[in-house]
Amino acid sequence: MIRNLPRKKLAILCVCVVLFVVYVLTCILISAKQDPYKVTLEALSPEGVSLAEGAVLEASDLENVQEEENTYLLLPVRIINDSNRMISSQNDYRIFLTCTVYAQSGEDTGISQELTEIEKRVGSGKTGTAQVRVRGLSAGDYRIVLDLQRSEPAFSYSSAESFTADEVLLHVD
Amino acid sequence: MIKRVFEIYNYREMIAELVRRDLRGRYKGAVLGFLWTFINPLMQLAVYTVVFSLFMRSNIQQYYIFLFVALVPWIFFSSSLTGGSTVILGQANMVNKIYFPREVLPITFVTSCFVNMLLTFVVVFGVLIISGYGLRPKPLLFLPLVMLLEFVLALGMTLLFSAVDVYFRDMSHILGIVCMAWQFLTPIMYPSSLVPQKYQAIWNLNPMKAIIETYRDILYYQQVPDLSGLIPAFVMAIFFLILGEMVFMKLEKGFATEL
Repeated sequence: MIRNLPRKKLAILCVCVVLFVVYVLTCILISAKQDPYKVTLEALSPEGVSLAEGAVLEASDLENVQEEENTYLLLPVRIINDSNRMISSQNDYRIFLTCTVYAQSGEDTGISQELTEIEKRVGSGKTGTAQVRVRGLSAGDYRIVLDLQRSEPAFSYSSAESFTADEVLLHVD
Repeated sequence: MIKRVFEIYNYREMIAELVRRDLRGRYKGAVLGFLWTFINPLMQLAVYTVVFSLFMRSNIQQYYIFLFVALVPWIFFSSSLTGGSTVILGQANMVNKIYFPREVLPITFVTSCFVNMLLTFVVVFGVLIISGYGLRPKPLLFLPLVMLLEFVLALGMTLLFSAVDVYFRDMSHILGIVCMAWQFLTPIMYPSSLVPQKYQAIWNLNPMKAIIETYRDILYYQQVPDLSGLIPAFVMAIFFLILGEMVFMKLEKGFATEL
């Protein structure tokens, strides 16, 4: 039946099909070649300044909140988004901030949290803040590793992506 | 089936005329007329925004945009399904008196709903621009693709259920209830992050979930969507289109007797 079409209509049909295929392939290529997340995570001092390498935070200087029977220390964190997409863990299960607490000996204390508490969307080229809540630290020295991660939805064939982590040395009296 | 597709193509002017007639006739006689195309989704948006922002206090930023960009495509899909399932019954006179490929009726209905959605997107874009949210060209490039995918899925399911409804009249009522439940199982009013991780695998089988999330990626998050997440939706859309047409062709033979 296609062969019975007049030449002009056949030519138009071919052009339309080719244009459609080119459009779909373009979309697939753009989607596949997206820039990896270029995000920097920085732990901050209570005054909101980036911490120097090796600097130790005092737990007594940090804000804390009481919820039910637990006391949480609040670690301020800055997120600098240099990627071409928005970071938002509040509305997007694919992005989340993790916090792992290690004792001075290097042993994982088991106080690890998966957080989704990035306060606001951090747009492309913008800087945002988050507050990491750490619970149940007894007296001692700790190394806290903060990591921004992106999980993959089921059935997605994209490779997993991870972000730059940052570390905080914390002293608890 | 290929011959049938060409036969339907030959009736494209009939489809276009029926779509025009449907769009003109939708709000004929109503004082506000065609404005209801825009007022309907805006009123739904207002109600949901009040409930989820003021009463239930969702902490999602600019919730009205978060909801609106998902609600508009959902309204297209659910109205295609629920309204389209009775389209053969509703045009019984035409079916019994005139020869034409009966698929013209569900195709017309879905196309009419689709044109309605396109017009509502004018309002969506207006809201995005006026609110200062704006639009980004690169993600917008993907909008026709996801719209086409949603259209194919809606058409396939409408073909299937419109044929079944002629024999099993309860189908339209069942679909109404199914669509109501389906709306809550699709991340329209809430983000995907609310669904516990252990249910994500099953939940991802919902083709509208990936489609709605893609609309949201393009318009709310304003980022290039991850097309790999649409693969199951694409497979289901093609599956339902083929199944819908096969079932329709099989059941069409008895339409005149049943109607």
